[in-house]
Amino acid sequence: QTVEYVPASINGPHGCANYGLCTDVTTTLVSSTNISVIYEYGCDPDNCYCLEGTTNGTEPCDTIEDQCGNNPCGDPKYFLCTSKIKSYSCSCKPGFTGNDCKSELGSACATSPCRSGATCESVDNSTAGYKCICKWNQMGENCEYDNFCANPQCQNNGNCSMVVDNANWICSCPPGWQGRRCETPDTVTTPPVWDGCYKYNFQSIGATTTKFSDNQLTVDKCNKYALQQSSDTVTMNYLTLCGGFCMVSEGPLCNDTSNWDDDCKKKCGGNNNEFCGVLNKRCIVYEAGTAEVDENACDNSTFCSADLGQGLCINWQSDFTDGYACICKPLWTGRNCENPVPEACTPSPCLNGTCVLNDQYNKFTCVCDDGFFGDKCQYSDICTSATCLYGGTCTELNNGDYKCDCLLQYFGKNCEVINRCDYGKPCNNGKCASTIDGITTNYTCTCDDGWTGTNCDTMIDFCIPNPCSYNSTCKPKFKGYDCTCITGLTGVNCSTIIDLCVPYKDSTGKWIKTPCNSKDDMANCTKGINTLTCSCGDKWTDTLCDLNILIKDVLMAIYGYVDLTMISLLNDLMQNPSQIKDMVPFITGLLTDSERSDLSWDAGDLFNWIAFEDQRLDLNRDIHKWNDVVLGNCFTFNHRDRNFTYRLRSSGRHGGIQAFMKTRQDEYAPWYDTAAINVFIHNRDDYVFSESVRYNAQPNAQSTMNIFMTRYTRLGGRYGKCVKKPSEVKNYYYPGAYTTDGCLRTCYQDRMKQECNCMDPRYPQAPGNVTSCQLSERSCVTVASEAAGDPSKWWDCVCPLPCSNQEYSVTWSKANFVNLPIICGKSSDVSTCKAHYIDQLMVSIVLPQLDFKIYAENPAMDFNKFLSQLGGQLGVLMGINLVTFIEVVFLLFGLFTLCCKKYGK
Amino acid sequence: MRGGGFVQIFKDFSNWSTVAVVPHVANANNKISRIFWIAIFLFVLGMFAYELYILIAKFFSYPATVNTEILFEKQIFPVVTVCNMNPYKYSVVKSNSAFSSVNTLMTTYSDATVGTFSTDKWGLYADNDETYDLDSRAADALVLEANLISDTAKVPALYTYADLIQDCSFAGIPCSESDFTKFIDPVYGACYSFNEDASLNYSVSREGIQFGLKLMLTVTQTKTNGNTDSLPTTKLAGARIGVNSRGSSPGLDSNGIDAGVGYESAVSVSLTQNVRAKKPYGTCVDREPDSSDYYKDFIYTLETCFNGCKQRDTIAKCQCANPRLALGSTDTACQPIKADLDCLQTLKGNQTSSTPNIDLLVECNCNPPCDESTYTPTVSLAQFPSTSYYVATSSTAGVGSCSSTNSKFSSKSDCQKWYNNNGMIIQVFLETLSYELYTETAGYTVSNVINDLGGQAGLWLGLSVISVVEMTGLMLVMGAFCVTGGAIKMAPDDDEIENDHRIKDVEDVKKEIDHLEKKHGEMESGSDGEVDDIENKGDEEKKKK
Repeated sequence: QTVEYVPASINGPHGCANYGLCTDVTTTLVSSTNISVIYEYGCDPDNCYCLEGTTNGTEPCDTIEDQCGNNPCGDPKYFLCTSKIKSYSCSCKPGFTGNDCKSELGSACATSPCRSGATCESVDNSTAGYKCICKWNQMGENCEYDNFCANPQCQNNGNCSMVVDNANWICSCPPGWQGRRCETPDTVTTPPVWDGCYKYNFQSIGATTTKFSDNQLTVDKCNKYALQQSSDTVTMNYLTLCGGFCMVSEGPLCNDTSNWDDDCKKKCGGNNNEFCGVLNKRCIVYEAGTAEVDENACDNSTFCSADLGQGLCINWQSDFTDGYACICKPLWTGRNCENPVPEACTPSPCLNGTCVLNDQYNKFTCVCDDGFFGDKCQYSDICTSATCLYGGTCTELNNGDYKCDCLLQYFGKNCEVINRCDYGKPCNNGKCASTIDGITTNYTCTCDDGWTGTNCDTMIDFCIPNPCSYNSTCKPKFKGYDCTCITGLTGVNCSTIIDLCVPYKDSTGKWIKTPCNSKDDMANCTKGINTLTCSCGDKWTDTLCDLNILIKDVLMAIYGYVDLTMISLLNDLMQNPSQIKDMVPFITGLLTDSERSDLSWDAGDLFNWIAFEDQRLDLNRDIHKWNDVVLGNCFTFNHRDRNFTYRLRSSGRHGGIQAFMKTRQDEYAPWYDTAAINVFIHNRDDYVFSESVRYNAQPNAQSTMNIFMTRYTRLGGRYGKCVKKPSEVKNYYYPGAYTTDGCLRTCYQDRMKQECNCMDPRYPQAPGNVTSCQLSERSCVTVASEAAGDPSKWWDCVCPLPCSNQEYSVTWSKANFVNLPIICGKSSDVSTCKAHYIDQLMVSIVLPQLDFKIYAENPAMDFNKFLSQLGGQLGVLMGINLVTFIEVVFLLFGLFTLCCKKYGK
Repeated sequence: MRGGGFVQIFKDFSNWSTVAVVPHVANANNKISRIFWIAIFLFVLGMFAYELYILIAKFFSYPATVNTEILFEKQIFPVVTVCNMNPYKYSVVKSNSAFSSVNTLMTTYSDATVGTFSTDKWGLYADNDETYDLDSRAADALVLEANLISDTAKVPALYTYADLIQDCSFAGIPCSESDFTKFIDPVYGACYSFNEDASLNYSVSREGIQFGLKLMLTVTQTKTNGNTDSLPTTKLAGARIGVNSRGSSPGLDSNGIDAGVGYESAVSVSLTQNVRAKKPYGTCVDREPDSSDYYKDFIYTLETCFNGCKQRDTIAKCQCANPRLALGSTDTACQPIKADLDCLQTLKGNQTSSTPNIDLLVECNCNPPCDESTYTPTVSLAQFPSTSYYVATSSTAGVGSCSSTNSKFSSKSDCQKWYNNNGMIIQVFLETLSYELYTETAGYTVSNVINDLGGQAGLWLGLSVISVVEMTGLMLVMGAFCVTGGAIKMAPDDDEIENDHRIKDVEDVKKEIDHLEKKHGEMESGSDGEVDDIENKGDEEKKKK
């Protein structure tokens, strides 16, 4: 049973156009019989690999790239260019012929009489006449001769000319020169001969002889000078060299040789190998060289058969080739051109063609008949259309063989071999070994390191499994991998944890043991991946043990969380803890009244009971609760907002207030250093500020406060300036009656509003949308307050005294509770009861006497008193009364009348 | 003729009267001028009348002026009264049969404070919800119970001088029990007053703490054996101090100073004297009427007046007297029963009620005293004893010094601790020898009235004493004229004037002047001049006569 493969397409070898190759040849069973099995092979269009010079068009590889874009054939007017795969073919356009296709059909140049390279031009449009325009190195009527004189050949102004039937060239030398290119002088010189060293005598040598001087004197230069000075009658035969002087003479100039050995060996300035002697002492004497004209050997006409016309004689140097050389005609040879040479075409060497003779060189060229090739047309034609396969070009060789110029990717004598590894790059990263398996070629890939897969197109992934520790990112690369460590890890495989618990130098240059120990020396640091764990001491907390526990407690109490922006501020606060009480209002001032009130005490928190005139009061009805930013919740008896007004009806303790209260120190904020109940005693219309006069009532004691009232009334109008209502001043932000303190604080708040764009939260705010200063703005408030100074001295702050106000002065005394109260004596736990009891206190407000002082401004003199005193003074001193003024008026009137009369006259 | 005579008299008077405008009215040339001057006269007379009214009204309003003087002189040292805040020794109350009722009260109150109530005669069970009401009722009940016990029977439970005062010195000189006057206060028990007796003459010639009274007191809230000796109703450990002038009521219940144990209480006092004016310039009184004066033994003060008024109100409403206040000779003290205690409770402040009880300021008609001395105290504290002080005392009746020989304490520190819990030092001194004297005097006296009246009269009418004499003279002349029937001549008759040679001479001159004026054509002006001259000369002649 035979297996036969049949191509599915006329395109070879795999079905792609223009000899395209297939990267994956498919075979299909067409028929199968007992005798044979026939497969049809083809190529999927997507797998066609186009040869260089072809591209995909309508079908794969069906378009041949244009190779005639730059007119490779020549002038487009005469040539017709056809593109081929990576080449082109040239032909003459219709109507033209000749080698350069410039000759029109029917003209004299149509037969191409001129040599290749020359230009043929018709003469007068005749069919017979033509003119050949030769190239620069051509000559002859049809430019059939090479012009050897086109390139410069002659030297020393020699003249080149073609001779011996234009088969050779010759230089006509000017006088004094000889040789084929006139390169050889026509004289023969002998060198100077050293004669001896003699003593120098200026009187006999230097004074009269012919001489010249040269610092670079050599013997040759002196010899040339002697030749120049020689004439037909006088011959300079001796050279005398004394230092840099050359003296020439017919006879020797000196012959004194005494003591010459020590002074003669002075080297010449121009040639260290020669001796010139020393001036004034010794001179070297040479015998001058001679110059003879070389004989012209061509004078003998028998040389080179010149007389016979078989060659030409060239004069040459006498010691070389006997003084002449021969240039023979093409048909002659030999030393003297005496031997004849037959013509190249006689007999004809062309076996199957016509012999063409080249006269210039006596060479032949065979023009073979059809069907024959070779130098002598001895070989029959071998190239046919089937000789070279797959687009290869067949060229017949001179030895009778042929050569196929295959397209790319095709190999073999007949271009029948396809190397699969040469196209398509089947092995991307490896070595390809081609194998032949039927009509389809196959390959085996030996992959390089780092690659895998059938075609070695898959890079080995070294990241499977992941070699990087702690789930770091592995990035594969050629022959390896790169681990991109997560923060806190290092090493090739990220297997090393960077230890953050290392000493470092802080901004002040101080070494810190670990980051955990910047504040807390007792902290322990444990390293982790991109982190560290600090075990803090008992005074510090937070991640790095740099947050004071007190600060954290404060922040948790204020904000409910640790506000990082406030930590630095609070750290500064720890250096000066007394500031914290001043800073708290800047935080609580941001809250609403209801929120602040909820943070502070209720009446039930502070009061066990309160009594007035020995009668217990109702906390909800008689005690008014209000909130201040600094003081918190305050409780006022007889507040102005209450409907009922209690009056003081009797003096003494039984006519005053008594209260039994609690300080609740267990619920104090940690920044309060003292425990007491602040007692403010004021007129009911006055507003209480956090800076108003207060009295402290101490725990575990009864504090008795005796109050004394003083009332002030002032005169307004022209007697002075006083204020009756808050509306009389520019701004007044506080409820109740006008007070100087309130007015000054109003000025202060206006200044804070102007400077810091917010108001101090420690005082009540102005109505409207004015915001309270926050903790971050506290420094602005502090600086502005210090810069502004006392509000009472500001030019825009006018705060007169009120027209009427009351002041209370207080004296106090104190007595402690008994050591064992009866309620604790009965208690089961005495110590706990006592600890609870000493946190309480009693306050007693007493008016010892009912009388009080009134300081009232009265006018020192009223109108009536003024009249009385005026009348008294006038009456006593001058007896003047009111009628006196009228009498004076009458007197003046009379005088006026009298003067008028006199003037009238 | 009579009418003519009066007119003549008035004319003569008006010519020489010093009252303003009157001569002008009499000598007016025409009717318009006369009306003008009459109008002026009426105007100034009206103004004078108005000003006179103002002066009289001001005088009868009796304004007062307070003069302030700052005096610097030697002063009599004030009376200093000290009492223990615990009125009775609890150990004696528990053991003495005379105090059995008080002991029962204390026991019932102690149980009530821890929530155990029982039916008792004082009604403590009624205040089981309120601590204050319970404490208040118990304190009142204690006063009432103690009032039933005679002073003699109280002596064992009271603190003696030796119990209370361990050391006493005045200006560095030791003082003794004889310098103190003892009295029994209904609230504080035994109290001792220094310099109260008139026979004592303690005075201060230099100010400062070195020249005052220094007392070391022990209140013994805890005995040396560790037992508590304070009554259950006593809440404070210390002494009650009163500073007042001699003869005044101490008023400890109302106005005393609290001095606590464990401290030295330095009490500096400054004196203020008030001298007030009586009616009509002021309202001060020297004493109340005898019928309503409950504090006859003391100098009158507003406080004594108010206390008496309150006592009368209590008697009127409760039919019994409050022992805290002074009792009259015919008054009966309230009994320590629930009914009386409830009645006393209703008399306390209830201003919010629709029927409030007595307002002393409005209903008592109390007036300030005409002479009053007030001491204003200022208290400062120091720790007592210091840790290294061994508490030296010369008294042998008390606990004694903290020396090694004291057998009452096991160690010196125990002794110091006892003194810290039970002892104190009181220093009372004059802050300065200068004191303020406020004297209320009449602000507008008769002298002021006369001054102002003279000025106003002089300005408007030109009136003076001379004018008054003139008026008097006019009245006498008119009277004489009426009596004699017009026989007296005040001026010569017209005929006599014509015969007088001086008048003739004047007439001759007049003729000549008229003649000259005719020549110059200035007849009218010349006549006017002559008339004036004649009138002037006539006046001179009249005056000469």
